[in-house]
Amino acid sequence: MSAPGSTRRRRGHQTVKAPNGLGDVRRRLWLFQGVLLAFLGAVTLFVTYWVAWAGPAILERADNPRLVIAELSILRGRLLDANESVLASTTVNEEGNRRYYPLANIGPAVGYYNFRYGSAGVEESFDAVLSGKDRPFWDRYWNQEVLHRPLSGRDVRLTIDSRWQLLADELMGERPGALVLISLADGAIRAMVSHPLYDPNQLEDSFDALAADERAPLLNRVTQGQYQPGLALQPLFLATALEAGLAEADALLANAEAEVQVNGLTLRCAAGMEEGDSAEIGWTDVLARTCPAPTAMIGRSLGEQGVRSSLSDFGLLLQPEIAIASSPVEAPTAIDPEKMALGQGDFLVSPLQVVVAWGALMNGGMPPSLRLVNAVQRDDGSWQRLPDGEQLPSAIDPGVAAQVTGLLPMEGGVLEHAALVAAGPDAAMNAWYLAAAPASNPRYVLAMVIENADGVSFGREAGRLLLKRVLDPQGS
Amino acid sequence: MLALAFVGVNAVALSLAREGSLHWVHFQGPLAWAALTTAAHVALSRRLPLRDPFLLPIMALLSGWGLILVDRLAPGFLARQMVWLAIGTLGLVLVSTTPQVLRYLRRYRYTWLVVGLLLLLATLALGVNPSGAGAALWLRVPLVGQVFFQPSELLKLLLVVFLASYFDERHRVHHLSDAAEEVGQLSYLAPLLLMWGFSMVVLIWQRDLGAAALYFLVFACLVYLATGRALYLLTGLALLLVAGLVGYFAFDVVALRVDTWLDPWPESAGRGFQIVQSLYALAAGGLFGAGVGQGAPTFVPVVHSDFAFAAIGEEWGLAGTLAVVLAFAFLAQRGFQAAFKARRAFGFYLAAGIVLMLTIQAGLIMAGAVKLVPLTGVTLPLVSYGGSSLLVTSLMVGLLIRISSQVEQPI
Repeated sequence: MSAPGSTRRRRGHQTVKAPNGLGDVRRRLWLFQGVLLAFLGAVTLFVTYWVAWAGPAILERADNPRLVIAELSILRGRLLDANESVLASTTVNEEGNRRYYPLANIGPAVGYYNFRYGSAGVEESFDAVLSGKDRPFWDRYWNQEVLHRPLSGRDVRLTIDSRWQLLADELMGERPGALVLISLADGAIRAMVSHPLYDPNQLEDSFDALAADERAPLLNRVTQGQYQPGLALQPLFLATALEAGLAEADALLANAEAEVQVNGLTLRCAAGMEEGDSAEIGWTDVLARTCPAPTAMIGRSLGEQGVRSSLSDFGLLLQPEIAIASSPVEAPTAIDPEKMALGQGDFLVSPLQVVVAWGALMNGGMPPSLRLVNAVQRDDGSWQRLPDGEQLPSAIDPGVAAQVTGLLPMEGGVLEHAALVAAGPDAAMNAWYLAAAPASNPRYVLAMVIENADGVSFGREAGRLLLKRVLDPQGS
Repeated sequence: MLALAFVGVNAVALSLAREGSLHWVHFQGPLAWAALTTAAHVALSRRLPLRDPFLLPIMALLSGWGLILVDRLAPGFLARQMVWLAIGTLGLVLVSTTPQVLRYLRRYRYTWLVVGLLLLLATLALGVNPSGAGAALWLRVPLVGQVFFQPSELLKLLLVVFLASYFDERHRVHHLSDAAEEVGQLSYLAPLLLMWGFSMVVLIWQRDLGAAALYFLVFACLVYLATGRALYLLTGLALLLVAGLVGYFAFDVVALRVDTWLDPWPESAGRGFQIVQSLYALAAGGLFGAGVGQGAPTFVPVVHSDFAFAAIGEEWGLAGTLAVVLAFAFLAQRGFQAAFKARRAFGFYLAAGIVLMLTIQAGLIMAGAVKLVPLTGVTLPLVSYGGSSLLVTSLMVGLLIRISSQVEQPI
């Protein structure tokens, strides 16, 4: 290249002078070239800054629409029942992947997943597995960032048996309340029903109404419902008293049918004496008719410490861990032992707690270690069983447990205990029904509470039918 | 060849991403582009063998990338962009191969500029906006139907031609008369100021403030280039700053752009939405991008026009954006080389002016997309959707090719 302002001779061509006097101008053009390149260099630095430095932080901002796209494109894993029937799956369409629940009344155990309204139940607690967000960083980076594949989750298998779940839901009808059915051998929850129910496929249209509904259909009454236990816990306190030597299983109790006043309520036996009946009755009748007076006596005998120990031993002062949200337990600070034994104090329980306590009595004193989620599928299709929950210590001596179960009424091979409980100052009543079958060697335990009940017969009939069907699935 | 390979691969990728298979509709543009580019290359090889070998390939790469982008972001506009590309390529070949073209540009500078100004003035009465709303900066091309032309784009080239011709004439006068002081006097600049000032008034009247700022910068740079008086450049920059301050308080659009440039995050759903989405797009692209057709750049408003750079960032990643910056840097370097090789002052100033116009415009919009400077509303040459810009840029590149070819210029 010739020097600025000079001439140049080209062989075979006419000599042409380069523009003279442009030497300074050319130098200024060099300067502009440098400035422009520096400007473009600054652009490069800023792009790099937004990509490599500030990018990860700003991409997490809630107003980044790509978060929505990424979430909607996730191939969420399925939820399966114990027999691998599909409880929840993801349908793929142009608008984004959508969660679908083939059994609309599958209930709160499964919960729901909705992009706008969030998640609940197992959908919430196992979201990382179902969405694939628990995959290792490099796995996600390679598949999403390099291969641009959507995130894919893994299937989760529950212990719920959809046959019993649907049957239990049908048997409860339109009654508000809760029902939980477990198998004692492994603590597996076979059915978990909470009424009123909602259809998780219709959340887009109905969520606001559901959230505002005073009946609280979004509440999982099994794990989050708080009910006064009343005399539903009567057999447990009897067991504690027997173990402490404060009661005798074959004793005849005077004034067993006496009325008891508590919190302005008059508690009495479920069925009155008939003319000619003895004034003394045994524990079998006391339990069958849920007479309050003997239980109040037990409460006085146990005292505050004894009642508190009984509650603790049977697991009623803690919430069972089953991988979905549950209400925290507020241990009573001061206990009126008589009132607590009658179950009409400030102490509230969930049906899930009650089924554990009841299951302990039916299981030779050993509280069942509940599980709702059985296994998680690996990428190769095999199943990884989740570890068992922590085993609670024995609640009661096995012999005592056998004594109490021997005192419980039995009907059609089902051991049962039912109690009508005052739910509040407005005279509303809840009906508890606790059952175990087969009576000779219980394999299944059930706890049910019906709100606003006028008696225990409804829960009794529904619970008996359910257990009968569970024990004999092929029967009529 | 690299440009052909790049565009071809991306056409395949876009078709697979969109349709799941190879679909003809996504290859029409690239095939037309390849044919036009090849034809231009053949024509230039025959007529201008000594031209700069890189200018056409760089332009081809950017325009081909732009076609892919239009197909991705605004497929309804693809056919129109292809037509403008064809016209632009034809124009490029014509201006670069037509003998005496530089001479005609130089001699009739006032005519060209007046034509440009009249077209610009016409938008005050006849202007339309193809989108149906916003500033009426376009003229409908008669007898052709829904075809629009933006006079301010043509005026960019005509203004540079005028300035180059003016400085060329004064340079020859200075050289012949040895009147060294004349160059620095304001009277020397008076005709320039008059013509340039008129352009600015019209642009500001139209609220096309991005173009007004671009013209001002290029004018100031060329004046400094020709006169060597740093005072003029500094005064110009100071005036630009003052104009910015006045504009901030006088024009809502200026205030909006400055405020959102300073801190868009509190208004990320409102006034700052566009720049915030642009930054999200760049960040989401990462190093290598989401892949053509697999990102979400359409969240950025007017992405196919104002924020093509952000779309490239999302779907081609940091690698893509750096490639675009590098392409414009290379284009500038080749353009400046053409200026240095120019046989006379007109070619020198014309090449310099064209490079300044293109590079500053590209730099402004890329810098705006990354929040380095406030948004200016100009487009990314050759890449963004815009027929008028594509045509005029093609003509500019054609002129650079002409100047780089060292064709003898009669004095």
